[in-house]
Amino acid sequence: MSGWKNYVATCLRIADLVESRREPGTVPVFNKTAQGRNDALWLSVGIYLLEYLSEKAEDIGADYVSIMPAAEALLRQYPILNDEDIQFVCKLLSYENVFHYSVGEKIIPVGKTALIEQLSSSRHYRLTQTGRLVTDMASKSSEMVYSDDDARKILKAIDLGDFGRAMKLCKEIRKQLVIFSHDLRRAQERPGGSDFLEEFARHRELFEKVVTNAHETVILGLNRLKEPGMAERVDDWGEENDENLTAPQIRKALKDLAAILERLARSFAQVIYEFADSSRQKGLILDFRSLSHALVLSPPSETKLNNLLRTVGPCRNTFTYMAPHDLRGCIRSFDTEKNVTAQEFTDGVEVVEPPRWFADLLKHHREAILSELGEHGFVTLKTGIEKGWFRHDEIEMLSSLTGIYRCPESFNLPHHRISVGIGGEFETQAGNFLISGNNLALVLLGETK
Amino acid sequence: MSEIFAQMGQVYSLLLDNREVFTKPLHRKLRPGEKEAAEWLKDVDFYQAMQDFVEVQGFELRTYSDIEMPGIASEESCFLIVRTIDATPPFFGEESMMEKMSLRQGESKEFRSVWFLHLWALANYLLYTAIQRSVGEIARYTEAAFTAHDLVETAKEHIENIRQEGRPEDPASQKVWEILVDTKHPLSRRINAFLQVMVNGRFLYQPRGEEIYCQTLLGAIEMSELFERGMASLISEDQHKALFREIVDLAVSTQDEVPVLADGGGD
Repeated sequence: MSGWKNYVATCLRIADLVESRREPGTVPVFNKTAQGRNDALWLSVGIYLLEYLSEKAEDIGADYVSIMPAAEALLRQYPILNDEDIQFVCKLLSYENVFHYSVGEKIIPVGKTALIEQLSSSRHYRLTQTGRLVTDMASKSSEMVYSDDDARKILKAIDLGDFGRAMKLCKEIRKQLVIFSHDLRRAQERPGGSDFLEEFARHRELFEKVVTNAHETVILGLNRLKEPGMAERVDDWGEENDENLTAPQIRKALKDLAAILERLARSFAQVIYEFADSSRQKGLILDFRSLSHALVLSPPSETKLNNLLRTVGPCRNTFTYMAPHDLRGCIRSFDTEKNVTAQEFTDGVEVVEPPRWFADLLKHHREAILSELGEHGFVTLKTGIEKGWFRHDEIEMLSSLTGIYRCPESFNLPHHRISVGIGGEFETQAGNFLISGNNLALVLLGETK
Repeated sequence: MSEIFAQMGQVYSLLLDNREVFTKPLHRKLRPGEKEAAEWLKDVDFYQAMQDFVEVQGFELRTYSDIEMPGIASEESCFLIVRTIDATPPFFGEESMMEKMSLRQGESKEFRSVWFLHLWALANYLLYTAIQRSVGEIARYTEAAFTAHDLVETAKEHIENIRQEGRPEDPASQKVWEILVDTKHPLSRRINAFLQVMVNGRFLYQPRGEEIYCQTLLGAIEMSELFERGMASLISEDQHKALFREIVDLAVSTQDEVPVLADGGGD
């Protein structure tokens, strides 16, 4: 990452030009007096944050990440700093300063200079496109259009036996392709297209050539690794360099690259088709505030309201689904040796004490319930209500009862659990029995491990 | 044979509860059983079997890799079940979310529904309109986030606007106006309940230790699907009011039964 500092230094020289107050034709003296700190504190902090976000971008792509781990590390490294100092640097790095240059008589904005951008009012940041370009240029692996050149470097690294370098190049190319693929997707989804998409359409042939060439090179690399003695060479390299790198690992990375390149090539045709198809309507940016206003002026009827809620709301299953519970029963019925597997399903499920009223009912009807469980494997809602084992006047209460409970003391089965679930409008097999309709079933689970 | 049933049961259970399975989630820890579920789903035959299994229940199983979609850890992938257009899963209902929207005993369902829909629209204002994002821009879900405070302020502004416009004459509108303007409870509590519903439904998530609420990939996809349901062509910039009507009509049409032809009604 040392290229970083040089690059930032170069940018500073450009900034000097922009900020220069020199009048044309005056004596050529550069008289800017830098008022910065001699210890380069802010620059160090800034570079640290940029490096942090750049490394995160390598891991997770162009996503926002919390800056807090970096801030905490900086506060440890520089005890004189406080959190507001870090926020100051973040603010400066995300400040959008527009530079201008002239073409003929026109003054044209150079554009976006913010290196990082903030997510809402959070402490989450990511590199901007400019920031990414800066880091990419520093690592000399900028854009996807150079992927074929980089792929050739992989081949060369393999030929030279520099397998660590080959692996590193695989990762760098993968990163370029991921960023390109995400940019392409965003551009495709953008209403009315985007500059990126237009650029892509203009240079379609170039992109296709890059992908084809890179793919061919990657396949050549894969074949090279299959050559006799190559696996041993990689192992030897690993031993010499004290790195845990094997030929299958490099092959896996190359296969992954090949698959990505194939996928990209396939998506190009679709992108071009969509770009050319002007009849295809893209969604507009909707004003949801106006929509909420319309909700007051044109409220829906009750029926429509319910349907609307079901359509737009994050509906989820409103009760515990029977299947996993029943599957435990199924497994026990099919093959008692699978008992342990069956119990594993309850791992991670919170086991709680049954509510008192429920425990009392279970206690009161202990013998009958155990008999029913012994005979059928479960108790249905219908049976429970008919026999007075459940409170039939509090159906909702029963609905909220779904879960896995410790067996009440009255059952004298300290290692067993009671599972209560409700079947929806479907049928499911539990052992040899079919549960259908809105059945509540009480199932006794086997001994815990 | 029983083993594959057990695996499918485990995956299904996870998907029903969480709607998502990640090979390695970015913003949370793996849930119990999630790692195994993701491994099984990577198998083409297993994936196909699960896809067929959930399809008849009103879901579509989808998978995205880090190459296809931002917000997924490097070299990892995720599996989601998305509600399909023409079939709402029979055991999916709004009861649970409406229950959680309740702050006091005796609040009618209509009262809670009105609040939910308004907050839903205002949250979408922050997730879409405020960042100049169309509902079809799924990949930008990684940029969509807001704090509870943002939503409180947006809601306050909205309520103040309708208060200033005065009580509508239409009785139905008047009722909605009263629910929003005259409610005495603290707005922040209602909004926290709403956010909890959205988080539980996996439409939003809150990164550990953070105050922001971010949109999930599932939330972005379902939102996009909702508006793709034949509505996109109907929406224009000056049709926001019609938009709501269209959502309602759409919701109604998806719930209606297909008319049955009388005997001999065919050609």
